[in-house]
Amino acid sequence: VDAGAEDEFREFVLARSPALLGTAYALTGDRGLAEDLLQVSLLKTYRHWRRVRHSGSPDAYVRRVMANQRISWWRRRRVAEADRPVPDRAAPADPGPEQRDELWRALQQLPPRTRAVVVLRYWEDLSEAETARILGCSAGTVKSQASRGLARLRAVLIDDERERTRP
Amino acid sequence: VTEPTDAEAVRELRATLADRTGPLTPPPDLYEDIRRRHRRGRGTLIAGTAAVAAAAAVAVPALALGGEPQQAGPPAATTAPAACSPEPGPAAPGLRSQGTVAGSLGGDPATVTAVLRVGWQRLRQATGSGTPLDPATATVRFVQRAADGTIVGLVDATGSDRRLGRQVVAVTGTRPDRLSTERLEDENGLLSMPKELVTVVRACGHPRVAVLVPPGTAATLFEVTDVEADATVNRRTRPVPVRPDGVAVLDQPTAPTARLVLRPPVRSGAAGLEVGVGLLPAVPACVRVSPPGSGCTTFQQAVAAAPGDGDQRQAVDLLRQPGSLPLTHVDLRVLWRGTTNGGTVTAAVTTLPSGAQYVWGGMTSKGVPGNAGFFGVLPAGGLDRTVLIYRSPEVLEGSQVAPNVVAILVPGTVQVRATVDGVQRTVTATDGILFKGRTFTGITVTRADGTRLRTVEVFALPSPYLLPIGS
Repeated sequence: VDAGAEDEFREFVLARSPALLGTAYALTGDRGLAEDLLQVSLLKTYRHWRRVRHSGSPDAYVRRVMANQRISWWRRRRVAEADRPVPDRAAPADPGPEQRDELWRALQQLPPRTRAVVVLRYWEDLSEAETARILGCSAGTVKSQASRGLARLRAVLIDDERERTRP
Repeated sequence: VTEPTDAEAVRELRATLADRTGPLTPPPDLYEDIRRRHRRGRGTLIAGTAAVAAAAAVAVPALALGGEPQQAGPPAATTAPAACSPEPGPAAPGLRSQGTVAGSLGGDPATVTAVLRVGWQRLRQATGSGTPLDPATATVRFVQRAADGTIVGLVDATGSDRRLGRQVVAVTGTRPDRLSTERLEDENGLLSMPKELVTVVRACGHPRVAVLVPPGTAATLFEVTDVEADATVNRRTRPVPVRPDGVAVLDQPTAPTARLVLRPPVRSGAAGLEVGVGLLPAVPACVRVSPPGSGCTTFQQAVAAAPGDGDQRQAVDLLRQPGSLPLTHVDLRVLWRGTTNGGTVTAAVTTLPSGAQYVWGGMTSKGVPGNAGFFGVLPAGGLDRTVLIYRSPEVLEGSQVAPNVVAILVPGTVQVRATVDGVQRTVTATDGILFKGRTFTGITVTRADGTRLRTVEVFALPSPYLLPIGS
């Protein structure tokens, strides 16, 4: 990476890492894991920065790396995670209402690819086509996974509503 | 109960994620961490070579020469603020309490426990929740108080099923209740040996070299000060005080070429271990090419102009590793970029202010991760009388790549004789040539007038402080 590109990369990290860390946290549900995911993804981006910087969308590149890296980690650790019904909630402290707590848990319990679709579509506000491109799947797959993920989240909201309206 | 619509579910999801991610802030040293991990990754294969050869340079250095840097970018040294962000170190089930460990604070149970807890916290985070790391394996290797009072410790752990390699973190801080951690990859990324561990850690933003070696090991620090026209490398040396228990923590040397030479108390045919610990400067975007005064060009352009058919991108990557170019140089020429077994071999030369020539390059091979680099110094004009030979098996130890490769970089047009797999071959080569086979013997190179040229195996070991490309 030459000096000019180096400066650009440094600026990119400074400017975009807060938002990208948020995405990483949404994908992992664990603060420490999110930091590692972000660092590993930015490291991969750095290695290809000469190409990435000219792609016009370094953000999309990092998101793609993050989503795929997260899925890759999950494949390697799925046995370990099977024993983990509730994701790590150590940090940050949750200031939101209980309903959001439940929604957060439900999001973390989605399969990684479905979770990635939900995060990219509804948090990053990407189109189905963009999400499909990042995840390397078809737009149809994105559509069905998003629908499935959203259905699961809606179910949580219904359960919560029932709980609150129970006499 | 009214069933929420998709839009309502999305709105609630966004509110949830905004709540959760809003307070997050990335680590302040994220950029520096990425740079350092990038450099560590590149050193791995060379470190592996050192493990086999028992005496080798681990990092590709640059020369620290007198005068102002002409074209180099800022050193890759961290400029992080000298402050610690303390991390909580709660008690964790399964951690074993430790007795006395190595280091000046190793006999302080409270400090050792604090280091263990903070270190485990980070190790656990590093591999995620539900981690396969076994807390019972978490071990404080040492806790040392550095000269300025900073606490530096190393903690490692392995997976309970042994499938996960050893993970190591550095724990640093000003007080036991103000400790923070730094992820250090796994053991393969640490430039470590089975018994010796040398790594650069950032202690509260300040880079230091942490050393853990077998008791009785002697350590000496060498820093290159300049290179004379006859390729004499001048350096200053100083002994590094290693505690009897094998621990040392020292400030990272400011010279780009700084080597820590470790000599174990009992030598088993090994001369010792040499580890690069200097600050690796960034490679400048713009380099001057021969002849001097012809202006400035990029590495990409210099590589593109080089003879040979090797992959340009791989050649650039091989030559542009951090620390690969001396801080002060006059010009640059890429000698050749050739193709190996699906990989690339390349070398470049630059003239130092004294007139001595600094040669460096590297080689990749298909199916073998990483790459192997070399560097060395020739006296002024020495390259015209020298043939550089790359022999793949010596570099890529354990490689199953076949056939083996010998690449020969020659000055101009010469005649090369070699016996390849028992068959003598004679070919005329310009700039470079590649032989493939199982065995290579009797390599001689002559000019048209019959003058025989000196051959140098660029990966020959053992190495002194710079590769022995002498006169």
